Parts: sequence; C-alpha cells; structure tokens
Amino acid sequence: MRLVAVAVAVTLVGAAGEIRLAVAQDDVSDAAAAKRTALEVSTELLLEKLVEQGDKGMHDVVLWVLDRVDADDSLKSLRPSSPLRRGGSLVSLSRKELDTKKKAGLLEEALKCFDVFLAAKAGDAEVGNEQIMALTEKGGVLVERARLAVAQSKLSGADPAASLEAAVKFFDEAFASFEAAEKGVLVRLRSVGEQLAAFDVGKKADGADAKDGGKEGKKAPPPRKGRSTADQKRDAAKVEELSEEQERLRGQLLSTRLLLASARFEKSKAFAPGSEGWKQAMDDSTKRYAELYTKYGNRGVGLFARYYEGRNYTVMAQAAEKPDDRKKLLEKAVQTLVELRLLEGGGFVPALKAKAYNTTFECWMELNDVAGFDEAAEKAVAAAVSPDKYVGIDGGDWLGMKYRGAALLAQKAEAEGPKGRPKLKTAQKAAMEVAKVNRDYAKEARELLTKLGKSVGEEQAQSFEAAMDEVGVIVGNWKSKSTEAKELEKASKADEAGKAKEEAAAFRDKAIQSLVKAMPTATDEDLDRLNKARYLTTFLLYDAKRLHEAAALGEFLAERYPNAIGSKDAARVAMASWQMLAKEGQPGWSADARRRSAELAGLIVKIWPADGSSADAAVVAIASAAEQGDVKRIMDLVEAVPADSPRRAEVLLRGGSALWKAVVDRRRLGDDAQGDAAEQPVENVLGKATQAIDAGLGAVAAAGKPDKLAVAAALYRCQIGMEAGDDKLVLETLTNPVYGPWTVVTSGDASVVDPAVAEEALRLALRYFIQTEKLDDAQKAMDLLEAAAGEGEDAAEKLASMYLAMGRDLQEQLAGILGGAGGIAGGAGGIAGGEVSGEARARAGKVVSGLVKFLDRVAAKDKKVSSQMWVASQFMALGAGPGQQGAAIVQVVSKDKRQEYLARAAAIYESLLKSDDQKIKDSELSIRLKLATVYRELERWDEAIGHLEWIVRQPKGANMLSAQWEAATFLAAAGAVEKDKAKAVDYLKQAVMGRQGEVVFWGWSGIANKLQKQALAGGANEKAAESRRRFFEARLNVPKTRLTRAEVGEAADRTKQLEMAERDIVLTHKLYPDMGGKEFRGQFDKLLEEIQKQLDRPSKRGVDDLDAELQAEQAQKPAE
Amino acid sequence: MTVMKKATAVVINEAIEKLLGASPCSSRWQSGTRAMMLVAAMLAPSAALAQSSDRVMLSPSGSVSGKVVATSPGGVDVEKGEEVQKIPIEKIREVQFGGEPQDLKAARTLLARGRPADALEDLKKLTSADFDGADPLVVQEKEYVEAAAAARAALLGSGDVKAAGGLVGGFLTKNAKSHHTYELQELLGDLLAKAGLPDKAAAAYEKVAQGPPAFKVRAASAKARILFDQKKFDEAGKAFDEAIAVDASDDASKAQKRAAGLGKAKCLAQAGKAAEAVSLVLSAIRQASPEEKEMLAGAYNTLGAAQRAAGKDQDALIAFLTVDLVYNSVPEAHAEALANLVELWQKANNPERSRQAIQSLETTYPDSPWVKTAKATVSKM
Repeated sequence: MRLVAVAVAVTLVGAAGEIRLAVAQDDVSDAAAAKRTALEVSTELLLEKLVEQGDKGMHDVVLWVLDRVDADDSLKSLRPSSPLRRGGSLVSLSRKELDTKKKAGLLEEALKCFDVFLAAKAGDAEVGNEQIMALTEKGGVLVERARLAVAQSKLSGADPAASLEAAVKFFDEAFASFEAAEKGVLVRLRSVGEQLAAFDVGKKADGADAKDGGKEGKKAPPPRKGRSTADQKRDAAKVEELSEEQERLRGQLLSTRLLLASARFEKSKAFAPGSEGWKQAMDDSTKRYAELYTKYGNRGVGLFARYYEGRNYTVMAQAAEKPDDRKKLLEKAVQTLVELRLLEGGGFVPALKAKAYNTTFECWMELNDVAGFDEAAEKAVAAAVSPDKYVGIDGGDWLGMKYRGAALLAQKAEAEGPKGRPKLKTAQKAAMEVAKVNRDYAKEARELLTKLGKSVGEEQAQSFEAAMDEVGVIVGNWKSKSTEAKELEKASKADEAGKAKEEAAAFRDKAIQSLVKAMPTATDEDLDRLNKARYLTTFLLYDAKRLHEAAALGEFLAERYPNAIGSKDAARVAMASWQMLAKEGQPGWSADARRRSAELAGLIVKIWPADGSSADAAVVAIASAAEQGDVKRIMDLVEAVPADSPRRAEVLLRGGSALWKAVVDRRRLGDDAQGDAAEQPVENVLGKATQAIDAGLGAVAAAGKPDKLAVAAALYRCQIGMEAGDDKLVLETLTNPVYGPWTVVTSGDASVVDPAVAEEALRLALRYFIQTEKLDDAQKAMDLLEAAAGEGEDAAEKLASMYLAMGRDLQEQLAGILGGAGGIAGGAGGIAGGEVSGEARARAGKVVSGLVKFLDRVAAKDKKVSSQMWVASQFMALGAGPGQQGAAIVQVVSKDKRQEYLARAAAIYESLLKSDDQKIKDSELSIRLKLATVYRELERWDEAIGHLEWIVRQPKGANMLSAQWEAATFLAAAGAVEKDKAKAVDYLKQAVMGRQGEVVFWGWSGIANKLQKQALAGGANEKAAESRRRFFEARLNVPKTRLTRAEVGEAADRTKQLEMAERDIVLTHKLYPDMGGKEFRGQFDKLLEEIQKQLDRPSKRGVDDLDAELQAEQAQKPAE
Repeated sequence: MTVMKKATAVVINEAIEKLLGASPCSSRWQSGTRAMMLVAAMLAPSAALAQSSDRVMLSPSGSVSGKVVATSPGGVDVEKGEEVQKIPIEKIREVQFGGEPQDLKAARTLLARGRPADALEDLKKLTSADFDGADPLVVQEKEYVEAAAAARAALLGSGDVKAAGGLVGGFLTKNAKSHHTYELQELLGDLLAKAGLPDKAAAAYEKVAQGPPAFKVRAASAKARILFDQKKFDEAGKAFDEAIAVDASDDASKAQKRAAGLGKAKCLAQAGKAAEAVSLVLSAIRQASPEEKEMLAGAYNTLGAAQRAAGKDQDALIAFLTVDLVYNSVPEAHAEALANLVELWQKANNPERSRQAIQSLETTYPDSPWVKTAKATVSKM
C-alpha cells in the first residue's frame, strides 16, 4: 500500500504547486498594468523569478524579500499578496526539511500565512484566483499536517490516540478548505460563463459538469449588429481571453475534486483498517472517484480517478475478513482497471498504465491467478524493460509493475518449459532493473533473481550511472546481510550471525571497491549522484574502520558541497571518525585527530547552525577549544548557537562552564596564562560565562528537567555569584527547585549530580551558609560532606582531603575578596601591597565572623576527631601571619585576634594529642608539626622546639622534610629575636649548618643538599617544580640567615658573616646561573645588594653583573 | 610609474593623436572607396540590396523601420515612404541594416551582450564577398563593430589598448558623420584613461560633451569616473554632482543624470557613507521607469555594493539577485552582480549557490574581468 500513498502525495502536492505559478503570473501582469514604480516592479519580478523553479527555487530568499516588503512602505502595493507568497515558500521549504518537528513548524507557519491572507480577502465581493489558490494550498498543508500526525502516532513513546485524533481534525479542516476552493472555482466559472453568454457564447454557465468536461474548442462570438470592425476585434479578443480562463477554471475544479477524493482516502489511515471510521473514509473516497470517472471519463482527471477507485478496492480487500469478500474486491479492482491497461498514448498515459498494471499484477498475485496474466500484460512488461521507452519513469508504480510483472512472467515461463525461455529472460531483465534501482521492491527483485539463477553482479558497468546501479545492488545485499546478522545475534545464533557478518563485510568491501572505481567516471551532470556516492563511500569506509579515509571524504563533502544530500550525515561520520581516531588511534595521530575533529565540528556549526547535529559538534568544538585554552573560540561558539537550536541550553551551559573554568585557570596562572586565554580581558570572559550559564539555566528551568550538566553549571554560577558577593543570587541558584545544587544534593537524587560535583556543591554551600551565618544549614552541609566521604577504608583520607579543600576554598574566597580579580591564588605573599577597599574588607570580615561562629559551634558540639582537626586547622589558618599560606587574612584580622585563633588551634591540637584514638596516633607527627608552627608564630619557643625534637626523634620523623624545614624556620626566627647574643648566634648557626647529636636538624644548607638531586633532575611535573622551588628557597635562606647573624651577633664576626653570605650567593650563581628563575633571582639580587651595602663595598655587583662575569670567565676558558 | 610604462604611454598617446589628426591621404582614400562602393552598389543587383528595410531600435523601447538615408553624430535619418524621419542619437539603441550580413548582426549582438572577444571571432567569418554591392553604411558598420569590440576587449583586459585605440581613432577619422561618433569618442576616452592618460581621456570626453544634452551629462559622468578610478572619491562625488547639475531635463538627460546619481552613490559608499549611498540609490530606483533596464541594473549593483559596505549582506544579496534574475540583459552589470553573488553566497554559507554563480559567470562572460575577481575570491575562502 506504500505505492498508493506515494501516488496520492504526488497528486496533492503537484496540483497546488501548479496553481501557485499560474496565479503568480496573473499577478505580475496586473502589477505592470497598474504602473508601479521600478522598485515595486523589480521586487515583484524578483519574487516571481525566485520561485520559478518550484521547490528548487530560492524560497529562503523569498522570505527575506517579503520581510522587506512588509517593512518598506514604498513596497506596500505588494503587501496584500505577501502572506500568500510567504505561505507558498514556507510550504516549499517544508518539503526540503527532514526534521519532522521543524517541518511541522514550517507548515504551521504557512497555515497562519494562508489564514491571514484569506482573512484579509474575506470582505471581497468576488472570490479571486489568489483566494482559490490560498484555500487549495491551505488544504494541502492540512493534509500534510494530518499525515505527519499519523506518522507521529506510530513512533515509540507517542500517544497514538491523541495523534490520530489530531490527524482526523486536520483532515476535516483540509476538506473544508478544499470545498471552499471548489466553491470559489464554481463561482468564478459561473461569472465567466455569464460574461461569455453576453457575447452569445457558451450558453451553459457551469460547463464543468458537461460529460466532455467542457472542452468546446475555440469559441468565436457571432457578429453583432451595430458593432464596428474594431469593436468586433476587441470582442473576439475578450471572448478568447474568457474562454481560456474558463478552461483553466474547469481544470482547476476537477483537480480540486480529485484532491477531495484523495484526501478522504488519506483520512482512512487515521483509523484502524476495517473500523467504522476507516470504512466511511474509504467509501466516501471511492464514491467520489467513481463520480469523477463517470462525469469526466475522457479527461486525465477522470482516468486517474478511475485508477484510484480500483486502488481503493485493493486496499479494502486487504482489510476484508472473509476470503470470499476479499476475492470479490480484488476481482473488482482488476475489472475496474481494465480500461486503463488498454490506454495508448503519451503524456500521462504511460505513468497511469504503470499504476494500473502494478495494482492489477498485485491483485493477480494475491489471487494466484497466473492465467489472468494475458498477452497484453506480457507485452507491457516487455515494453517496460525496453531501454529507450519510458525514459524518466522510475516511480514506485513503475518498479512495482516491473517486479510483479517479472514474477508473474517467470511463473508463466516456468509452466511453459523450454518454450518459455525468452519470457524467462524478459523476467530476469525486468527484475534486474528493479534490483539496480535499489528502491521499492529491490529486495524482492533480488530474491527473484536468485531464484531465477541469475547473478546480478555479472553485468559490467559501462558508465557512472550503470556502475552506480551495480553499486546499488551490492549495497542492498550488504544492508540485507547486516540486518540478517543483527537478527541472528538477537536470536543468540552466534555462529550464523558471524557468518552473516562476514558476508556483509564482503559485500561492503565490494561496494567500496565498486564506488572507488565508479566515481572517476562521473561527469558534470552526475554531480548529485556523485555526491551521493561520496556520502555512501564515507559511510562504508567508516563501517570498515577505514577511519582516515572516511574522515577525509566526509570533510571534503562538508566543505565543498554542504547542501548536497547526505553531506550533513557525511560530516557527522567524518567527525565520528576523527573522534574514534583520537581515542583509539596511534599515539602520534591522536592529537592531530583531536584537532581535526574540533575543526570539523566548527565547520558543522558554521554550515548547519540550527541543526540538531550542530549541537553535538558545538559540544565537541567547545571541549577542544577549552583544552587549547581558546577562549575566543568558545565565546564565538556560544554566540553562534541559534535561538531555535534544539540543544541550545546544553551548548550554552557547556560553553559557559568552559569559560568560567578558563577564568579560574587564568587567575591561577596569572602572568603565565598563554595565548588567547591571556589576550581576552578576564571581565569579558567572565561576563560571557555568566550570560551563557544564565541563559542555559533559564532554558533548563523552563523545561523543568534537570541534568548533571545543569547542576554543575549552576554550581559554577554560584561560584561566580560568591565571588561577586551576590548572596541573593547564590541562594536562589543553590536552592532553585529544578537545578539548584543544594536542592539536588539534599534531595538525595544521585541521578542528576556527579559525586565530585556534589562534594564541591556542599563545600560551596558550606561556605555560603557560613558567611551568611545560616549555621544550621552549614552544619547540614558539613554532615552531608562527612557522609559523602563514606565509611570504607579510604574514608578518613577522603575526609581529610575534603577538609583540606574546604579550608582552601575559604582561604581562596577571602583572598578573592581581598585581592580582587587577580588575587585568588592566595599563596605565599598573598596580596601584600594592594589597597583593600572598605567593601572588600567588610565582606571578608563577614566571612571571618561567620566562620569563627561556625567553628565555635562545631568545636563545642562535634567531638569527632575529623571535625576537631578541621576546626583547629581553620583557626590556624585564621591566625596565619604575613608571608604565610592564607596571608590575606591579615587584612581583616588584627594581630591580637590572630594570636587568639592560634592559641585556640594549639589548645585543640594539644587536647587531641591526649586522645587515645588510633587516628590521632597515626597523625601525631603531623599534629605536632602543626603545633610547632603555631607555637613559633606565638613565639612560644620552648614548646615549639619540644615538639620538633619529639618529631625528629621518631624513626618516621628523622627524615621528614617538612619537620626539618619547620626546624630551620624556627631556628632562624628564634635567633632573630633572641636577646642573648650567644644564644641567638647559636640558633642562627644551627639554622644554617644544622644541629648534630641526639636530635639532628639539617639546617638550610643540609636541606638544600638533600633536595639538590631531586630539584635538579628536571621534569615538568608539579612535584619536580616544588622540589626546585624549595631547593632555591633553602639556598636563599642560607645567606639570609647569615645576614641576620651578622646583624645580631658580635661586631667582630659581622664582616666575616657578611662576606660568607656574599660568597653563598656568588657560589649559587656560579653553580646554578638561572638561580631558580625570575622570582628567586630578584630575591638573591636584592639580598646581595643589602649584603654589599652592609659590607660598604665601593661598587656593588648585582646578579646581572655576576652573569657578565661568568660569561667572561667561560669565554676565557678555550684560550687557556 | 616605471620608465617602461612611461614609454608605453607616450607611444599610445602619439599613436592615438596621429590617428585622430585629419590626414588628407586617408580622406582621399575614404572618398575614393566610398565612390567605388556606391558605383558597385548601383550596378550590382546584389541580394543585400533586395533585402528587408533598415530598423532603428529606440531607447528604452520601440523601433522605426525604413531606409536609413543619412547618419550624423546627432542621429539618423530614416526614409519612410515619402517622409524622412529624423531620430536623435540619444533615442537610438541600435541601428540594424536590412542588407547587413548575418554574421555582422550576430557580432554586434555579442558586442552588446558584453562578449567583445566573441564578436571579433564572428567578424572573422566575414569575407569581402559578404560586402559585394553592400551599402557603404553596412561597410562602415563592420568597421564600427571591429573598433568597438577591440576597444571593449582591451578595456576588459583581453586586448591590446594601443591597437584598439588605433582602430577607434581610425574609425573616427574616417567616419566623421557616423552615428557612432559619440559612443566611440567615449570609448576612446576610456582607453586613454586605461592607458594612464587621464588628461587625454578628459579631452576625448570633451568631444562627447559637444553632443546633445544627454551626452553632456554622460561626458561629465565619464570624467567623474576617472577620478573615481583614481580613488579620489570626494572629488569624483563633486564631479558627479556637476553632471547632475547640467542644465537639461529631457528624458534621455534625466536617465543619464540618474546614472550619474549612482556614480555619486558609489563615491559615498567608498567614503564610508554607506547609509547615505543606499538612500540615494533607492531614490533613483523609485524615480526610474521600469523600462530603464540598463540604469536599473547599474542601480541595483550600486545598491548591493553600498549595502555590503554597510554590513548588510542579506540586503546586498537581494540587490545582486535582482540584477542576476531580473536585469540580466546588461552584460557588464550582470557579470558584476554574479561576481558579488559568488562571494556573498560563500559568506552566507551556501557554497553551492556560490558555485552556480561562478559557473554562470564563467559560461556567460568568459572575457569579463569579474571572472578573475570571483575566482580570486573563491580561492581565498
């Protein structure tokens, strides 16, 4: 029954299209007659030319032009027909649209246009051609909408009853529109008839009902008395014009009636076969077809109606329950079509005969009536395979007729034995042609050929077209075998499935081979088919895992022929190929494949911005751009996503998130930010990130469906809000009922949030609740965080890491507030030197105040070791002095307060040391080290050294670098403030050279020696960089401490210490000329200057002078 | 300017000057030939003489049939029965001679269609036998097509400017009474301008200005074009203003003034006043008659260029499409529109339409310099 649908579709669409052109031409002559301006005439002619090629016209441009017509008053004379033209172009555009939703959208818009046009014309005294056209077009669009609704009902997940109900409604509206058009045509016919009657011509006003359809030949008015020769000439011209109009209207009337009958047949598809609704629609349609044939049997419309009547009987036969009823209906169909099978002539006749034969053959096959396949039918099949006859007729009916004819002929030939061999050959030829076209009935034709013992691959391709026919057959076999393999797999028949797969692969490889051979034979005229061949090859190569070739060919199509059929899919295949190569390809190729994938993604976004596949591409492109730090590109991609893109929200959220991460990286890297990331002003990037995330979240909220991406993006939005101090926005976002991270995490719905995002969300919520002093919620966040750490073996470690991260978050937040946009790093040195605004100070103060209150609460209520440790670490951070981690705090916390917080940290750590908890035992070294630091800060030297000595006495503590570092720091700090000169010198001496004996401290020199190997081994990882940093810091601390010793020690020793300090720096330079990089070089230079100043050197040498000396020294070496 | 270029310019200048000067020798040759041809025409009852009447195609539309009995730079006289109708040059679009060989007519059509190289090829098919007993005006017409086609080919970059100048100068010297005088004077000016001799070009245009008012406007516009080509957009704009200000209000002059208005608009667009340019062109289009196809083709191209300058690519596409689809009978304008469409469709992510445009351009106007421009555009994209 597929054929039936195709036939009706062609009829419906074709009729409307022809009318549109006819009326458009009328309009132009009217325009010319009205003496319009050149601008109006040009625009009108342009509109006409743009649609001259029917559906192949530039209908998109028509819409642009009509937009200008609507906006430009000097073109207002064109406005009345603007909605009609717009509707027509929208209908044409809908035919090219493959996306069902978009197609429906275009049709809906077209409907509105036709309605606007018809409403504007509602008051006209007489129905004009344009109105008739609008009504016919509207009816066609409604039928199309109804068809879409029927198709929708068959999709999984659809509500079939609702879709079919909608379809019926559309059909009924279509009938009303067609009937109004029919009425309009009749009114016009009557008017034309009356005008002709005034000339004593065409007495019958509505000649359409005449048996011959009103074809009356050329009319001439009889001479009238009192008319001059010139008047009589004018009369004749007018009569001719009216007669032509009458003829056109009659044709239109019949077309409309045929449309009405066809639409009723279409309506039957909205009902279950055999149901009442179905029967009514089928009977109604059949009756209308029969009437049309009875009245206009000698016109094309009547003959087509006769065919559809016969076709309807076959459809009804399919639904007949009783075999006898079924048989009678099939016989009735054969009988109905007999007249059409005997037709002779050109024009529409061959196509109509093909339809009639196809349906008749179908009936004979159903009836198993080979005897009915008479000599005339044999001739028809033989004629159909004639190479020169019926060129261009290749529709489904034609293929069906050839396949079914071949099947019946083969049966007949087999019954005739050797005598039937010529018939068998004809049957083979007909089946081969159907198989080659590889559309309707191709599978059946291939099966028939197999049965007839003919190998379809034997024919040699002589031309591109012939070669592609051959490819079509091979691809058909590949598809068929692939499907078979899948079905066997489903049925758990692994061996058979494997065999079928192998066979499918062989067909596929053969198809690739044939395509590669065929493509060079294509000519310029074959471009469309050549591009189809390229697409097919792309797909087959991908299937064969020949990914580089697939990617290259797909890219070629996308770049060169983006509008060719299959180009979009080829581009997607190419992108998939690059992605697969990036993932699974050879290591050396992966980077290139990633780059190519991103470039292609960019191209796809550019060419098909509004397409669904573009969103995939945009996501790939964003990911790639983010990886390369190409902020500008991310911004462009976000900007390019069309308002109506189906996955706009996703692209915006991904783009916005990537931009925010770029901002964070940029701030983290500071001056080290590379390339584009460094070129874009951070405010712009932040603004765009905010804008994109807000827009994306807006769309998610409207849709009401959260996902992981939306929740993560909402978290980033909160981070941006926190940084800006926008408490209201943070709260609204955190607690948004759809995507709010707090809402999602507290609801326990793990399906929309990743564990890492959940943890980060809780940490952010904790910070937010602390700063806004919502302490119950803060407690809840902390509990959830602890719960998130779990209870397994790694729980303690995980929890510790969470607490560390929480502390870092808070410090970064404070640093961010106090240091402004560039100060989020919060490392050593912090934001020293910058002016802090009152507002920033107030915000930071609020955070500190909230944190202290929360810490008090946790310290009092939560006695868990982990909680106490965290509280202590936070107090320690709050008490950090200048030059330490979290030094930003000094901007808002007074020294006294800091001392108080440090004391509270010390008290908590000390109390923890008294616990018997195994966790404490395991962490004792680290707790004591913290205590040593805290006591040093508090200048409680004895307690500090006590803990340090305890640590290094432990087997695990003796080689603990952090403890040795703290010890050297302690000795240097203690020496600097010790009043007793001898003690001070001893501390400082130990700080440089270390302490030997029961308790061993390495001192700065020892630390540097220990780090030397690791620091100078090279390597680009963070650990190597840290070793290097510490090594040079230790070497710097050696002369620094000597300088302090010179200052606080005996005067006699002063010069010696200063000279030693100077020598330390010169030696460091000689051994390591880069001196650890720019930052350290600066510090060494500054220290050297100070030392020389104290030495009262007449001329001072800086590090640069040391460079020059070294170069001179090295230059002399070869000479020596 | 390099020494070589200067030397070439001097040679061209001298050659053209020489050709323009009245030569008694050539004059004698001319009169002698004419006399001989007249005699031959009277004696030989050739097929040509027996053919249908001459036809003067009018601008913008219409025609007058009869026998062309006299020509002058100011127009042609057509004998219709016992009456002689004088048709002024500004109203003449084309003169078709009843007795002219088919290949000559085809060549003239190709010339009018902007395919001068093809016109020259067609002329090569003609033999002396084709002109046996022919009217001297038909012979003269062949020389005109030859000179004009050579000149246009040279202006398009596919011919020798010097040689073309020689042919045009020769024709003007020989045929002082030709109705093609002003057209060829203008072409001569164009060749001189192309040869880098703007002063000489201006002098040639001065001779055009001696014609009827419409030619005065045309000459002034041609001078303005020299300035425009020299990228002196402000001065060119003023020169176009002068053309518009010429005291003339007949239909032909009005049409020429509208064309000058377009020149002015181009200057504005180049000077960064795109919106003003768009407004000016739209005003000209609104005032024009729909029949003024040549003017409208130019107007829509100017409109498209101004809209491009204003960053309104979609509007520009519509303007150039109007030339491509509606006013495509004006070869130079059509080629220009196609070249613009090549680039604009590329920018609009529609390479297929861009490809169609360049195919159409290459097929229809293979000699046009716009082909090169469009190809360069495509290769950059």
